[in-house]
Amino acid sequence: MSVTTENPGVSFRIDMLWNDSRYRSTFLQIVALVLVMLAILWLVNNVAQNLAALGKDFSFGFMSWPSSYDINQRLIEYTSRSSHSTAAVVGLLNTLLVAVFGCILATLIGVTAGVLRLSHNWIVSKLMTVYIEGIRNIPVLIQILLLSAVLDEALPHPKNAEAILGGFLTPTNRGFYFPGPVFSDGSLYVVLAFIASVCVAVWFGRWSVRRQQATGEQLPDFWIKLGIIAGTTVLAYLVMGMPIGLEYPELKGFNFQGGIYARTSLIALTLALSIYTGAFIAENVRAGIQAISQGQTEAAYALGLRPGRTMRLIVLPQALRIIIPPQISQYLNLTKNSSLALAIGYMDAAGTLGGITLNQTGKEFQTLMLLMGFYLTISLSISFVMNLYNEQVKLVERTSVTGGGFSVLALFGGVSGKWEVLKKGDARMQPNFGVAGWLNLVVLLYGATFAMMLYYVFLEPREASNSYYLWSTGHQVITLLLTVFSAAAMMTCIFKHYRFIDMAAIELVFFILAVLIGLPFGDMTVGVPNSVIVFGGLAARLAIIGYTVFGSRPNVTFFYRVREGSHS
Amino acid sequence: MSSDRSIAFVASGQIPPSAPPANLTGPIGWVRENLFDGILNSILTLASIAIIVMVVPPIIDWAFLKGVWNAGSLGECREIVVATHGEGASGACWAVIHERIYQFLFGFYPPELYWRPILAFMLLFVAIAPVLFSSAPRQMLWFSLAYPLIAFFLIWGGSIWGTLLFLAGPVVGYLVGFRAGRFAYGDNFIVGAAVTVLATVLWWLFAVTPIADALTSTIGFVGFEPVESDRLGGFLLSITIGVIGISGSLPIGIVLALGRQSSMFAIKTMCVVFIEFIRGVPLITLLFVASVLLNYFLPPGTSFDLVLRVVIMVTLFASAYMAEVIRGGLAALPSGQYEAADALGLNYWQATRLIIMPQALKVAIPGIVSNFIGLFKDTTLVSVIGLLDPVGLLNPIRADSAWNGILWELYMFVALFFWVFCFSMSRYSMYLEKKLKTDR
Amino acid sequence: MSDPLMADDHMPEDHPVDLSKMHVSDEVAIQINNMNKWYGEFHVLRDINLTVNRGERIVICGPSGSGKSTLIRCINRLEEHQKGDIIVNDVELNSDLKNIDKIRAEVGMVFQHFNLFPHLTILENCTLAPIWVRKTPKKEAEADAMLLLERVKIPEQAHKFPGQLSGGQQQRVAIARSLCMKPRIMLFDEPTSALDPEMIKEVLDTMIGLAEEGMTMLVVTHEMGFARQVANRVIFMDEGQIVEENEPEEFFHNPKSERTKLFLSQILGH
Repeated sequence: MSVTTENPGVSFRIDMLWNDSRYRSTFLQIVALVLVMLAILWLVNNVAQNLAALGKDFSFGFMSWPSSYDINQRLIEYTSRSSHSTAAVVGLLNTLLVAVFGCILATLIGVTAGVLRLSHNWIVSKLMTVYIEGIRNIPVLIQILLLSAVLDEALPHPKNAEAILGGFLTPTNRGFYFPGPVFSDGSLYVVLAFIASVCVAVWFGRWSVRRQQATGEQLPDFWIKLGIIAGTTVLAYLVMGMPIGLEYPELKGFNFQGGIYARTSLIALTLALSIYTGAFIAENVRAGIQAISQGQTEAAYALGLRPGRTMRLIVLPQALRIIIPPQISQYLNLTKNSSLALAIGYMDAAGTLGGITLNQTGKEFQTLMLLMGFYLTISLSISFVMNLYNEQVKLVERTSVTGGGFSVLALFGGVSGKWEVLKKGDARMQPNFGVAGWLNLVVLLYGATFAMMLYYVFLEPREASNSYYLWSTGHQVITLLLTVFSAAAMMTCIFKHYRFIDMAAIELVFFILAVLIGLPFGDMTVGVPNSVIVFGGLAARLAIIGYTVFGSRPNVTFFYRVREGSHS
Repeated sequence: MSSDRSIAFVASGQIPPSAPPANLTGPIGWVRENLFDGILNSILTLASIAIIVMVVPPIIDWAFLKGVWNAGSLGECREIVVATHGEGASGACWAVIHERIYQFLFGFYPPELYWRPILAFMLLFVAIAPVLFSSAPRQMLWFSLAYPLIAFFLIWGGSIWGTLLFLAGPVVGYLVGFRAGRFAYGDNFIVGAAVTVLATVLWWLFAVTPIADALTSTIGFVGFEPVESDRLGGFLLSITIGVIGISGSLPIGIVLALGRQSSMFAIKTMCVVFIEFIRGVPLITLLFVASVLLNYFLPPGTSFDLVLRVVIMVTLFASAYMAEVIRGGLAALPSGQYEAADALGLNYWQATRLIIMPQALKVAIPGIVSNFIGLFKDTTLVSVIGLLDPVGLLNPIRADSAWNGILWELYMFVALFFWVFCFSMSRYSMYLEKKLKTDR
Repeated sequence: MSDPLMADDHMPEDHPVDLSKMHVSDEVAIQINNMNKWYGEFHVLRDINLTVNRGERIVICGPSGSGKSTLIRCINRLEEHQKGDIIVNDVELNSDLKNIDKIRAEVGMVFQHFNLFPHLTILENCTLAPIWVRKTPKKEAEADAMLLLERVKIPEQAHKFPGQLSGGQQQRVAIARSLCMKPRIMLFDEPTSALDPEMIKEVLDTMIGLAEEGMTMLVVTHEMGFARQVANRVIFMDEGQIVEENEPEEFFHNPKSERTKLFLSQILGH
């Protein structure tokens, strides 16, 4: 059965769709796509019919209605007259609050437990095993409920509350009260002194490294830097007459006033999530450290390195590669598990959007879409960061540097044609941190225009009228889609180490397309925000490309640049 | 040493082994080396011992020595404790567990029908055996495949005709697609498979109900008394959701994993989008979708009951994670396997079915078990949307006037149940991993 | 040479080795007296007595489990001995950390599985210890490292990562890395056992070069050709004790102990 591909005289037959490998895969994909589209169409049709039968619509206008409910734990201004979108923002911020503090606390607990688990001390190691195996196998919801119930029932009423930890913390069954900072005159100088001392410490660190490379002598860096920062800040504090004070919460009537207030639900949720996730992190850390073969430490000892240096220079860099990816998934799990705030009444994103707003307005589709979109954004961003990290720290294997490809700018007839996919470990590549500054600016500009786009589409206040459908403003949707595509293109270019100049060119193409398609619909440039998006974005992108082309950095990829003149 | 010494040396005999110095081994040596090896370690040891002494004896005292197992209410418990141990003593009131144990186990299932879920549970182990123990006969796998339907029938009841006809669907499909259809299009596997699927679906949609009705009206009702979904609760509900979720997610997960690995861009993208979407949102939002939104996606007028919708959503959720685990298993296969299969002339489906999948699944089994543990713990989330699994039962029990105020005993019991289950499964998974490593 | 005793000879034929002129000094490099070591209850090293003079090349052979690797790992304190003493370069090896540091700076070790640091380049692997332990300025350390990499004949790999090199190249880098610390004694723990046959030669070549420069070497190996032509003493260990030691010719052609004869018959002439 040797059918050659060049068979003159054989025209296309229908069963070649199936049997010929050239057509088969395309045919199958088209069939699959068609089937999926049909299924989606059927589903959308059902949804439309059901919604119509219930008299519901699919607008997002309700987000600007007043919410009529209170949220006790909030980080921004909010009353029951604020809109649902503000309530949603309060919820999002509360989720991020739990996520950030939870991750920090979980890391502390987990790393400690993991390292102690590896200790030679039998009792300590067994205790840690009990903690890890005990907590890992109990559902997190039970732990959250239990902790919340304990805090509610075991803590005293504000009337009977006593401050612990030297007056720093007052636990009650309404919440935890901390003293809050009070900034008076002169506190600005203290803050400035702190920032300045940090800069000095960083500069000192660099100078010390250079000195070590030149003369070989080492200074106790850590202590010196700590001394610089602490010493300067305390000195400034005293000189300015101690301008930053603490405001202690005081019992007035039935409740405390002043200070910082954290509800028991927030404390219970954060603590339970930290303890639970900490157990998983401990296992990660233990596996990571144990994965480094014994031979590495032996080789380091044989060279004369002390255990501390061995850990810092040899074991930890390798262990972190193994530890960090699952660690980041654990952070993701913690953030997703924070949605269990619903069970104890903490008003995070799930509690506001998915809870009260959903129940009050009855707009199940929209609220759940927004809620899932929020979590999806967080988790995709975290995955993106993790992939970046993995690319950066991949241990180099015996791969060959592949060449070939084309340059988008060659289409524009300008710059040289070939670009090479450069793998890390190519002797000619250098990490690109010196260039990072202006690349960050680019990303910032891009992010700002993207955020403004989102605001324009979703959250800009409109008249509270039911007839404002999302897709009557079709150009908004198209613009949004194209912005998303250009973001995806940019990320692909970053992952695949395209040269920056090519990435900028591809992204520019998408941006121009988005603007062009939006123009006929009229109001793309009306108003300050819209003009900034269109004209500012265009100008910024052209400036970047111009700088890259006419400046001296054609061989920059997002993280590496090619060293000139090195032998391979 | 003088330089003209002879270098030759021969041992005069064999030196027998002798015992090590006393203070370096034995119990004293062990304690020295492990517990008090330096200042930091000694402090840690003393601190740990202090913690253990402060925490463990009071708990044992409260839970076992002063626990009350037979009482009618919380107040009665407290009276018994005071009467037996004096004023101010406190003991655990396990009587609540004693009284409510059946509720925890079966929810609101009719007591006279308890034998059905129990039988389903025992058959579960029979169905699992060929998957976990490779020494079991391969024919048992057919039972494993049929088990989900058998279990469904046992737990929910209903007419046997419906279940049998449902089971018959794939068989009918196979006959039509591969046997009868041979005359139309020969041995073509893909067309045969497509026709099989089509025939099965048509059978399920259009043939099962009329034939079942016809049989019922002629032969009469044969089967078990049907039980409404809202009578399911407690551990019965958790285990049912967990098991159905995992077993349903396995085939879907395999398809997704293969699709994700595929070189066809459209299929790969669809699978990636599905997997990343499911893995990016918390389970609780998907459960909300199940309880609130799923009905919108169905044709107007139809609706499933809540438990079924939750099961569907949990299965979809588990299949995304299952796809990742299986993808790991596929990645662990050396590429030489694919090449060998190709060289033998096997086509894609044959190679996947006979060579790739069996090996990949074997490698992925610890990951699959770990997925199951996670899913089982996640079933507690259904309490948030109102289903009465063990966590959902906690509030109603606490609201009962007889047990108002009880806290630790209930939570500890439910936590202990889950812990025993999950811990044994995780130990088993570790045993499997070790066995896999040495097997090769 | 078709000596039936040297059937699997990996020694280079184009590089005839003549170390008969190499002078072994009187200065003692390593002195081990009545050294005993236990792993728990298991008596792994029994009454070891050994004197190594400066410039000597000693090959230690024996069946697996005989304690030969444990012996040389005790010399740089990768393992601890419980009884007896070990004196290296006139410094006693005990739990005094300063002594251990001093000894490790002067004793280099090459491992069976190379143990290069995969996250550092070859050059960084070599300059790490001089920079952090001997506090050498970076430029000087790099210059020294490049010289040594040239000596092991792979200077062009300096900026690659260990994962990109073959086994033989990695082992040569490992040797260079130890040499960067300018040790006076080199320990080799089965340096060629993990290598493919065609790479063994390049590593043995490097070791011969070291021997020709007068390095004091203790080598645990199964390469009997190397032992015969390079060593001035061969030690046979079995079940934790030194059973026999002698000059190579005598050792291979006139083994005195029964156990030695058994071992030699198993390892040679198959």
